[in-house]
Amino acid sequence: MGEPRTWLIKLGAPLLAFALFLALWATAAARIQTSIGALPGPMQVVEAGRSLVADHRAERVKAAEFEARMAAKREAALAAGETWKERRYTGSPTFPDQIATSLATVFTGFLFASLVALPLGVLCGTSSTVYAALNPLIQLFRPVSPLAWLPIVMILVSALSTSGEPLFEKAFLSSAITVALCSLWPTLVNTALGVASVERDHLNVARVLRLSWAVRVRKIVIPSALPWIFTGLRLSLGVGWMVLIAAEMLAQNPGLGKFVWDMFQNGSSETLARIMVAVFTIGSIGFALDRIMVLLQRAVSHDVRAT
Amino acid sequence: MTFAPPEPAVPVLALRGVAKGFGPAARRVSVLAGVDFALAAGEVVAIVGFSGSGKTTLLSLLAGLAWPDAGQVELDGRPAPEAGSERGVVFQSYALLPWLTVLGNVQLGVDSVFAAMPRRERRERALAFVKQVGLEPARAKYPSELSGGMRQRVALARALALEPRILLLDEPLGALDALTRAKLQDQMARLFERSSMSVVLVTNDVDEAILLADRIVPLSLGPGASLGPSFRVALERPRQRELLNRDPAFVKLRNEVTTHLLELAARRAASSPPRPLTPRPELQPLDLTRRGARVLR
Amino acid sequence: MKRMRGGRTLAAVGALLSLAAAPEKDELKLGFIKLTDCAPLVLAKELGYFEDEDLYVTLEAQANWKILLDRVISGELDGAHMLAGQPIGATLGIGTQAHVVTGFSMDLNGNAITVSNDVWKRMQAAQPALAAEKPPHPISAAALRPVVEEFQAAGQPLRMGMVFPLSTHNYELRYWLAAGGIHPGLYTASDATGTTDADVLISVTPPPQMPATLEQGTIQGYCVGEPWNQQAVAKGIGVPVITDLEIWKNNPEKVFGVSAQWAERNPETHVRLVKALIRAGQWLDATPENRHTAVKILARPEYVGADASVIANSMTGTFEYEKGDRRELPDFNVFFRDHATYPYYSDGVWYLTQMRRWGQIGEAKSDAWYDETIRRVYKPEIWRAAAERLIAEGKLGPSDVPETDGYAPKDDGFIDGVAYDGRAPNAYLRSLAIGQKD
Repeated sequence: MGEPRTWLIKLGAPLLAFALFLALWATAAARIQTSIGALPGPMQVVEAGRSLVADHRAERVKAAEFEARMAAKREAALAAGETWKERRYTGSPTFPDQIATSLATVFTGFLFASLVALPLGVLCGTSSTVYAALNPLIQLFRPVSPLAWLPIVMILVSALSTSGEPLFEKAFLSSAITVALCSLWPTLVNTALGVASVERDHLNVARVLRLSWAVRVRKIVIPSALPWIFTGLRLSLGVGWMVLIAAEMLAQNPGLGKFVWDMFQNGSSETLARIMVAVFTIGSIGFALDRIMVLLQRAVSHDVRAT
Repeated sequence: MTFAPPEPAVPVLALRGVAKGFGPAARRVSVLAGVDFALAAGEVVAIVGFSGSGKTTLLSLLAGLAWPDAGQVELDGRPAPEAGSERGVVFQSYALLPWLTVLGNVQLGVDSVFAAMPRRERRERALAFVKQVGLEPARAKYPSELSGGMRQRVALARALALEPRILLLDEPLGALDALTRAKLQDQMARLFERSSMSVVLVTNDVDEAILLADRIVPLSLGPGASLGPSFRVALERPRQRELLNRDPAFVKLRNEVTTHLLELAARRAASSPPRPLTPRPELQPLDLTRRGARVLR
Repeated sequence: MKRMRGGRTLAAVGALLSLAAAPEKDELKLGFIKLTDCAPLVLAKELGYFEDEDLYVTLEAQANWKILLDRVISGELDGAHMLAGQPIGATLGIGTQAHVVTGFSMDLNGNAITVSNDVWKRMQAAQPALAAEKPPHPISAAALRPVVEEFQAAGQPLRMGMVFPLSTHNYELRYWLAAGGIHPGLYTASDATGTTDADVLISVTPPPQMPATLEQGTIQGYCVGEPWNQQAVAKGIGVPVITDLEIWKNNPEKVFGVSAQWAERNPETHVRLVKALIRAGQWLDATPENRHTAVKILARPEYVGADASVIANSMTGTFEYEKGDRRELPDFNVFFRDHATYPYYSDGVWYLTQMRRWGQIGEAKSDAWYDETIRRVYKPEIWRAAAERLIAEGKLGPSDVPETDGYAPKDDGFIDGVAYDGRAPNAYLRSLAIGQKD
């Protein structure tokens, strides 16, 4: 009897809450007038979502026309015996393109952050001297907002990229580096904590077996600390995703952040609805990323009580 | 019959005037003071005492996992080095690595001690020890999937796989139920009888001590606990549990040891001031004089 | 006669030049700001004019003028839609220092000054003629003076916004205020905000935020391009009081700017870009139907994105001063007529004089300095090269090329009647009432 009832509550409660939220939103929206039109309600947001998809389709059509034109030019050039250079379509990025850019940027930043935070974390956790040395710096830089880092990062990226044909766009690099700077702290701190919290008995086992430092870290410290590390990674990814949107807005990386700012600049009657579509998209993606990390975290966690 | 002859020459493992305390200098609590101990080759010694009297500290010193504040730990008559595989340890909490299987846990030891051996041989070796403790069907299971008794056997297999000369066991059966304990005691008895290892077994169960050991050494109560005079166990091996209960020598010895321990407790209760609340590593003192009982780790 | 001969010579040279080399760089990224006068860039792309020149262009909207300039300088953008004063200010080092040049003027006019409903009511109270159904335009800033004094008396000076310290909007706003006897403030060595001695406080506000800040009362007026003035009317939060073509008829507004380094490395590409842009400008001014088509394209979210109805007004030659008071203003945006695309030195010199007038240029300069400086920034020779090729291709007529040495004839189309001669900048400065005199 318990089973179906708990399922009813598990599914029913959030559905009810969501329905209530939609109803409240719809009523409130109709009443609030802004300088660019009424606050959009759920229906308008759905409509805006549809128009974004339509824009994407229209852009694909233009791309196809472009390809056709290029194909014709290619034929003519080859027929005349000239060399032909392949051209990419130069249209503006559409909403799905921007989502892809944002995801690519956040993962790059997350990768940079992990590459720095994981080794540093292990070092801090195993050596109290290193920890004592680094802790003040960690506490100092952890609270800094991405909006403060970004101008510095942008200037540095500009100064350090000297080649004319860089591998990555400067805006992409600036956004990714800013994401890394802001999101590496949870991983660093949690890794250090996890490494420092290895059970004394496990370390004693390592001592009795006279395991070398490398083997001890690999076979005992890291596996023991993995749940902590994954908690840190999960928190870092969450922070990174939030920071990304702000970073993109300022660095002009063509992702969701730039989308929101461009829509704001448009000031059209569709602006607010489109921005809300972006809000829901950002939230959904953040939620999905978090769920993926939780699954990964569960996969590597072991029952610590079973020793 | 109750007091043993002087210690044999060149003991395999010895403590000479060892003292160990914990806490900051201003409020230092002495756990062990003036401890003298000697383990002869091939001997099985059981150290019995109340919980919280410093048995684990004593074992850590014997294993080389901790250093004494005063006195010396000797291995074959020379100052003992840090912990190593010649002194196998079975921890009170088993200390199995939860992310390795039964075979993996045992093989961890084999891999590090016998690194020069080719991989297949190492695996065979680990498997042999797993079989020896009767866990072959469970070799691919993780510790979380095992019962307490099975985990204890894995810990034992891991220690044995190192082929240590000395085996140190810290209350190995303390966390198990009576039936499992009895079964494992029998297995351990067989094991000790067959092998030439020197063994120190720390326990609070007098019957277990008599069943398994050649000699019983009581540990007085802390602070500043020390080892008392030994009781020789002159019973014949192999020792059968069912028969022992009817053996008058066994009963007499058990009474002697128990009485001695209770006297220690009574003396302590009469003379000791209230126990200061200093942080002790890994131990929660069980205060016999006051109300309530705190859970042992 | 002289003109015809000039035209034939040009055609001959052009014919030779059309056997030109391939462009150095054919995949380009150009930046723009979401204002309607980015139209030549947008239409050049949408109508395929860039592709005709074998150029494959991506257009990317930028967050604000500063970021746009920075990215052109850093090379992330090959070129951009710029304020006419930006290349000049950047080359002089006012703000970010970088040598920026231009060979194409994107349009004339296109801005307006809007005030809040509250300020408009006060102006009407002070000058009843403004309360009529169709008040007489142009409205001099003298009508604003009583309101400025009211605000000053209340201890809170009137605040107005513009888009960038080097923007045409800044200088037009200041010119209009000064012409009405209101001091707009000076820039000094210690005051980078330009509010020294000011009767009205002028500050920088990004265009999309202007309607919101006007509504909130943070500013009481602003000078900006379209669609932000018509947007204010449509939403009922403000009233445009004057358009910039009424302040100075046919004033230069935006240019197409590139870094000097880029121009040096890509001369062929530069000429081809300008060719496509001239064609786009020509198309925009050709027929009213073209303007309607342009409105539809600009209303797309990746371009200007405002509602088509808001953009349509100014682009199709009408302007709504108050709700319901719509007037014909065919010159609101001029993209090609009257040699709008030619980058006259005198246009640039006017900006230099205004920079000196308000103190952005810290000290007095000789007339020769003005001439030298502008020649470093404005490059009509590039425009000519492009025009010649277009004539050779038959797309441009000889009459579309101005007969000039780079300086336009003396201009007296200003609201206060003061005449401007680009060849005598210091004399001009002295003839203006408020501001630095040399």
